[in-house]
Amino acid sequence: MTSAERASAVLELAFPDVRRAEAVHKSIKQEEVLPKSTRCRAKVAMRKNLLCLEIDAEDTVALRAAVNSFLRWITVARDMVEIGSG
Amino acid sequence: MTMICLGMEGTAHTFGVGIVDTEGNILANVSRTYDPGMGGIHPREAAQAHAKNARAVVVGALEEAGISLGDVDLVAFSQGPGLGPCLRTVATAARALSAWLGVPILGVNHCVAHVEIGRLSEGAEDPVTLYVSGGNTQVIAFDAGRYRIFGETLDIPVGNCLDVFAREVGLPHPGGPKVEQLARDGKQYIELPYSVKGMDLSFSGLVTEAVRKYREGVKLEDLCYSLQETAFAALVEVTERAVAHTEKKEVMLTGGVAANRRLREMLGLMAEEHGAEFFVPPMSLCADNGAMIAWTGLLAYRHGVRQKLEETVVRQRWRTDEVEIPWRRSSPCR
Repeated sequence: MTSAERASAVLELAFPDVRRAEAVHKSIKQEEVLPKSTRCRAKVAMRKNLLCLEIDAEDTVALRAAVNSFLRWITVARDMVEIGSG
Repeated sequence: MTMICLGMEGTAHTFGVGIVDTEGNILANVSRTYDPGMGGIHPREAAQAHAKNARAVVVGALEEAGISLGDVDLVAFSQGPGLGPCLRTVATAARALSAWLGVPILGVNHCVAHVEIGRLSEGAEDPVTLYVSGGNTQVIAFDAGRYRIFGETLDIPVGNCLDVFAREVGLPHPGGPKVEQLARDGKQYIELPYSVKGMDLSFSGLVTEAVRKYREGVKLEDLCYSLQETAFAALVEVTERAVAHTEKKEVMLTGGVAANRRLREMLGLMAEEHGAEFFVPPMSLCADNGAMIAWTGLLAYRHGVRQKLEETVVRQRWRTDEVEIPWRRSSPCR
């Protein structure tokens, strides 16, 4: 796939329980609104203990950048929850 | 009832966590700073470093404070202004903590927080503040419910001016301390552009000319000395005019560039001439830190400021004078 083609990704991340998934979901939901310069649209949803992330990008470069950003945010949110859950 | 706030700072290269109570006790103030080595801060790499460090810094702060996460009543975070990727990483971490603990969350203006932690630590009541760092250069004073910007840079902040010069002449990041060190051996003042426009400042022409003179072969020590004298004289001039206009009797210096001894000396002399008391908080509170975010979050929360989760979206260009300061409406003190 060349970088000029549209690209999309769907990620489903399983958490040990619904409460953890909900805390992470709440923390990244506000980041759905991406700046125009990112050339992406993102949608964050939750199904039981699954965190679902859909990213639709104008090209693969933009897709990779958005996936990396969301994974960074999810990781930091998970780390915070893990401190809280001892 | 005493409340405990955990504050997270992460507008640029420092990720910091502070834990403060409503009595103004700083129970913990821990941070880690991203070091780019050569060159300047890359926003995405700094954000990556924040994400990597967040867990250790939060745990370190809890240990230093001797509390558990369950003791935290409020989570505050630096909502802006700053580098987008860094702000978003810290906002996400703060939202996760708040959601997990079921406690309120509050976004804080980074520049206001610098002033408030200085007022707390130094006991200053109503200072004219010169806030100078790698990301901001502002002369701030309280008037009619808000912190007003009496003067500011029109282009690059003074810390950035020093860092860019240092980088261009081959000194490692952060350049400010190295420029200061070399300036002590400077003997001859080299004329450089001095730009004060009304109450605002400009440093980009200054750094361009200083670099040009270096490439022409002017001695580095003399240039460092001249760069500091020129930039700091402009900062002191604008601060002095704000002091004269507001007739306030306190001057405070804060931000990372407050570490510079020469700037402290020059601003202190000006304050003395105006019969004003001069304050410089300890560097742990002048530089970016989590305690200032926690303390300002507590001030706002105790005076009725509340935020819904959807209002916690970061604000990269959030100006100091856009923030209502309800805790200072009725009284000049905290």
